[in-house]
Amino acid sequence: MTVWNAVLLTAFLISAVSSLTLFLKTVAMRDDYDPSEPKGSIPPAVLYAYTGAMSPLKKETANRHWPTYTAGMLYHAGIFFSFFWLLILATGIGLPAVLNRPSGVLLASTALCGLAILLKRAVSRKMRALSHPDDYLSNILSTGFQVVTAVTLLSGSGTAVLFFYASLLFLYIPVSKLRHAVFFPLTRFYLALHYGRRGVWPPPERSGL
Amino acid sequence: MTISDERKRQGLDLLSEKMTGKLRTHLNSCVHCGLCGESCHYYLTYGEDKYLPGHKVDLIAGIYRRYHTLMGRVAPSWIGAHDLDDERIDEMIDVIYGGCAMCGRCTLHCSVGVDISFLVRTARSMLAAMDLVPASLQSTVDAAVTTGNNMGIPQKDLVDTLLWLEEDLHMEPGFEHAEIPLNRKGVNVLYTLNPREPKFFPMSISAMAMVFHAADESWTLSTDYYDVTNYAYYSGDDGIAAELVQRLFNEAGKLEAKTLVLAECGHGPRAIRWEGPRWIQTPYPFRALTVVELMAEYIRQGRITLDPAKNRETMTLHDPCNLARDGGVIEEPRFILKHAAANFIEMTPNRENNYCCGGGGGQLAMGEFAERRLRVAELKADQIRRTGAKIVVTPCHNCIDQLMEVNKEYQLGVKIKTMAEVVADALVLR
Ligand code: SF4
Ligand code: SF4
Repeated sequence: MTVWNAVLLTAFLISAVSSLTLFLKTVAMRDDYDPSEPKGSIPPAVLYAYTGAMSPLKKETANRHWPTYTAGMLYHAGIFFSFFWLLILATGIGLPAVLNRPSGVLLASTALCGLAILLKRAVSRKMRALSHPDDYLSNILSTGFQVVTAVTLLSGSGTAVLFFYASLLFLYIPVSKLRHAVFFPLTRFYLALHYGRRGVWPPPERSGL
Repeated sequence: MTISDERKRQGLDLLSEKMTGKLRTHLNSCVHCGLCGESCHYYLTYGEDKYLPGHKVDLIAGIYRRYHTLMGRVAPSWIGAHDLDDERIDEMIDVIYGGCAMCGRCTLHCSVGVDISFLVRTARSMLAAMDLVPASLQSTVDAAVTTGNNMGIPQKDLVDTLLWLEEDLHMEPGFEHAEIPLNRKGVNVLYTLNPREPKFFPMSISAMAMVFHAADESWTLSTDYYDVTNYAYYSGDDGIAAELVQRLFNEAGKLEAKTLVLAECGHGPRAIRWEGPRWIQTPYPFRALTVVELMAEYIRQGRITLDPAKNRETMTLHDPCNLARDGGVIEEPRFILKHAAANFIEMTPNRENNYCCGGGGGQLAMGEFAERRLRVAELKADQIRRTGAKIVVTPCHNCIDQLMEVNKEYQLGVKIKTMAEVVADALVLR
């Protein structure tokens, strides 16, 4: 194990333990006892919360903002893809070298999406009004992660830089807006409890009663 | 406005007391994407940043970050954590009370799924703990607490109105023996009223009495506690909200009613049916349902027969937010109108995606923000106009009040009706 592998592993463990603690502490917190008689059923609502309700056709935040939504989806896909490559490179699992170039090009494109969102945040009055320095840094770190991964894959060198960069990203997750990655699944779950119990999700048959 | 440190502490303590897994989750989830603006009728109308749902989230989430997170303590400005100071409090009163109908439309569309209206209500609870509820809303709450109904109607006036309505009903062919029973024990249905009904719209009570008569229902009204509204839900005061629910709960017990039927209202049924059992931490030993669901049951069970030809004018439906989006009463009103109206046409968007009429969130009770309330309703006026309908039906007396003003303000030239009136008009007596 190189020094940079050790740094990466340490940062990852700190991040994972902090994030998991954050998650478990939240899950373990008391929630109000709700004795209301349910109108709908929760399990299908939970399923719907992570599937149908996420459909861009159902959400105005997607279908009224197609370019931003598309860029956002690609940007997030790029982050996950970068983590995939980080795992491959850090563990030394050998993948055919032929995959490096297309992966690098793909990540360069998703990084462009991140950059576009960053620019929008800086330029759009509405987004500026909602943004704090943390929002910019969170984007810069996530977009930069994709850039560094892409450069590493395209140049065939620079894993030390990638590991260092990824370590910073890992450490920043639990203390920043990036912690939404931890809370996102819970948010959908709580929404499913709310709408499912009340019979709003999944939407009932439209054919009548 | 200068607020003492002690009152600020009360607001902060309230936030800590309310901290559940659900609240903590929603306080940590907003990514500041700003895409929710176009789902909110306030932002769509004014285009001002302060009306962005994400900004409303940040008003309370920023306070949470300041007092409940490490980064908020060591580097507050970096993550947008802020003190609960006088300036912030002023902004909260203006936006949290005066710039949000708690309609939940943004919640449904939020990129992540942040329950924005839940956070807005939590922020209202903080303001209520600091005694900062707008005076007009607080006086509506106080009237309900001290007189038993939010309009302060004396019991004698109520009884006189109901007796007069019953007499009047007897003059209608087929309803010579119809009753408006008062305080009758052991009935199936304890029916509630929105105090606006005895005060301004008594005909909706007659309409419901006709439906009950046609369905051969055993029912009663209480003259002690009958108010279906719960403005403490809007003020954010859980203690009073629970007390109001407890009164109806006790009344149903006292009268040994099997079913508590919630009159046409949006937030009231939400408060009683969904939030109430949690507030009083007791499951109801009786069935609680909205009158819309009950009328749909009557039709389905063949207890009433309707002739849609009796309602020929084009009719559209306004879905009250709390009833549809947050109460699941979505298909029932459509089922009823399918049987009761010959020409029903949907608004676009509709059902859980419908826009608030502008009167939700206690806005109708807050004279301080009346101008905004009417201005944001232009969206609703356009929605109605586009249907070409002559009648707008809505199962909520708050929405009715607002829509009547909207009708005048935007010269829509429509009639506004309750669901009970439409059903009563279509009744076929056997
Ligand atoms: S709850 Fe309704 S009024 Fe309030 S921010 Fe959301 S969409 Fe706007
Ligand atoms: S859409 Fe949701 S995540 Fe985005 S700013 Fe609005 S509340 Fe926050």
